[in-house]
Amino acid sequence: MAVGAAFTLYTVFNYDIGTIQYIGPGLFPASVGVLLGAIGIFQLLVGERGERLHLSSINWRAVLCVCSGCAVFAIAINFVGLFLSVALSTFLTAFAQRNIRIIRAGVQSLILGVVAALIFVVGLGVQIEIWPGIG
Amino acid sequence: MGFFNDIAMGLDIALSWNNLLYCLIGVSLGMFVGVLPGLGTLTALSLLFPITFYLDPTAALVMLAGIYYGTAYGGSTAAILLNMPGQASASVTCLDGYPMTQQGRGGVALLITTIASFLGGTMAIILMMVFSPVVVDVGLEFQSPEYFALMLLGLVAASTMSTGSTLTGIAMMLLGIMIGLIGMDVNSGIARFTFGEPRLMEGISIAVIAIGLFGIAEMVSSIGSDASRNMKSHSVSFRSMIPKRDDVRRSVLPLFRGTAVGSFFGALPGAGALISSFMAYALEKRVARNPERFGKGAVEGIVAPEAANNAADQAAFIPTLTLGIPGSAAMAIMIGVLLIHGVTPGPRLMLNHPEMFWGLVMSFWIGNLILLVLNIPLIGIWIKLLKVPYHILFPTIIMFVCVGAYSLGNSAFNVWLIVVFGALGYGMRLLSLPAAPLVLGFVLGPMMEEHLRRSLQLARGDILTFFDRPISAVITTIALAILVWGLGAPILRKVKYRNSKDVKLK
Repeated sequence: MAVGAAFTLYTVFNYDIGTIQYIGPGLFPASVGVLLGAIGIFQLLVGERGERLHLSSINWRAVLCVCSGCAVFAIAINFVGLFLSVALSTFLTAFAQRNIRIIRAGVQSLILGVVAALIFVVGLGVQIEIWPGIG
Repeated sequence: MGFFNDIAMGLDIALSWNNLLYCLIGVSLGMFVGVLPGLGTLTALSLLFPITFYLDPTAALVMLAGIYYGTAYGGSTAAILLNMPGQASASVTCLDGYPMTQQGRGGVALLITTIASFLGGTMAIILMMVFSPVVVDVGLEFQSPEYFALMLLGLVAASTMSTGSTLTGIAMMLLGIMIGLIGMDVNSGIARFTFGEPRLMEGISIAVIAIGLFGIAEMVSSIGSDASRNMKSHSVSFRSMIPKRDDVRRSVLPLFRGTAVGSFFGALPGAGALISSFMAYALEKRVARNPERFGKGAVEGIVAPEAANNAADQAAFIPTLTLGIPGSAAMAIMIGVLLIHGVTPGPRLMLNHPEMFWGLVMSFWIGNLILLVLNIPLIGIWIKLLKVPYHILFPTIIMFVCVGAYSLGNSAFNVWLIVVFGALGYGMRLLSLPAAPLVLGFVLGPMMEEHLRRSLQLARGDILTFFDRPISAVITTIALAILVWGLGAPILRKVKYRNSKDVKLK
């Protein structure tokens, strides 16, 4: 049911841009939106027992670590270069595991930083700074 | 005679050092991915997608394809030895493969499945070589209505056959279409769904969606559950692999049947290796003289599914390369590669870029051969690989995710998008919402819109144009039929169930 509600929401979004013109840019998205909304309402009515999303069954730790790790990468890459960004983000995301060994994770991140530099910059010629000032 | 010219040209290209290298990388990775449970084909394809940006398109496809059909080889290894399938399509192989290991015939099982995989795959390649020109010829007759109908069919088929109810499949597909519509509208130049964000004008790259939806979601789901792989050391010596004559005799027909099933289902949009392997197994059991042997180490029970899933993987390329219609999320990624390199998929592909097409097909041969070699003598290595601890794998994947996403356009924005889609993907897994229709909807949606618009323009608003033209009429009818069946079958089942309950009560 939560799913159905989410869908109806999506379609509402659709409408404000949707009905700009008749067979213009709006038609297709609007119809897609309507269909989605219809399905959502249908499921609500029929009482389709969607999977209950227990808040406890979400692996919050993993979600947090992975997301923040990637976010850190996104922020860091523009400032400190590839090596550090990779090392930082992989280190952060490693915390998602329960039985984490900090030193091992740290070493791994450094190695991965090097590997990333090798594969992407050296191997493939991607234009990313490896370290502020190099590359 | 043009046929042989094509083959020669293809071989020429496939055997170039560059392409050979990427083929080798691809199939090795494919084996690796296939062997390890917990690392899926889609994840691997998405992760390597950004890298393909820097390769030439043929090499990129060769590598990705290698990964794709390579996984069909590896999946059976863990299934046979550990009763744990490395790939979903290998689940059926566990049923008879593991008992064989328990009977000490694990080596035989491995050898036979490898050969079955090889033969199944190569026969499907032959099919592909023979049929593709035919399909392309038909495809060239296609115009917008036909394309629209075909895409509709593909989407409907994918939604119906995905995990979860047909309705959820359709919903996901619609969601995918909407995400695909983000960006500038080609016909009118109006920006849609960009919410004022200029970086969204080009739309979202399929790589980003794939990486987030599959890569990150996979990671987050798998971290908590660290399936401890207890390896009972079944040492597999070379000699122990030699099968008995009886085994060989029993394997021949299942091999052909499996290949047939696989090729058929593989070429269908929506169906793939998974369904093929299950169907092949079911068929064998139905056809067998003494079906009680199944589940206890019957050779037919491993030969047929393995031939089927390899054949299916190869056959899946047929609609993708000849018509430009991806039958599954993995194929959608292949199409994505083509699009990124500015190659338009469709029947024109074979005409405009024959070297790419035939080079790719020939590389399938080479890849399968390489896999045959990799599998048989090197089995021991693959077995050791099963012990790779997750804590090494996982940060490596994150690294690929982040750097890969960033490198697509040198933008950190992509990385943020990945986080978003990763969260979405994870949420979808929790709610058991199928992801494949979403990806397909994303890729096909905008194209469908274009064809729909064009069809209606040409027909001046006449919707029946889809039914006027013979080809599109047929396709559209099939699509609608599948849709109705997909929606109606569960209802019918419920009604029947309720009726039977009533009968009991009386």
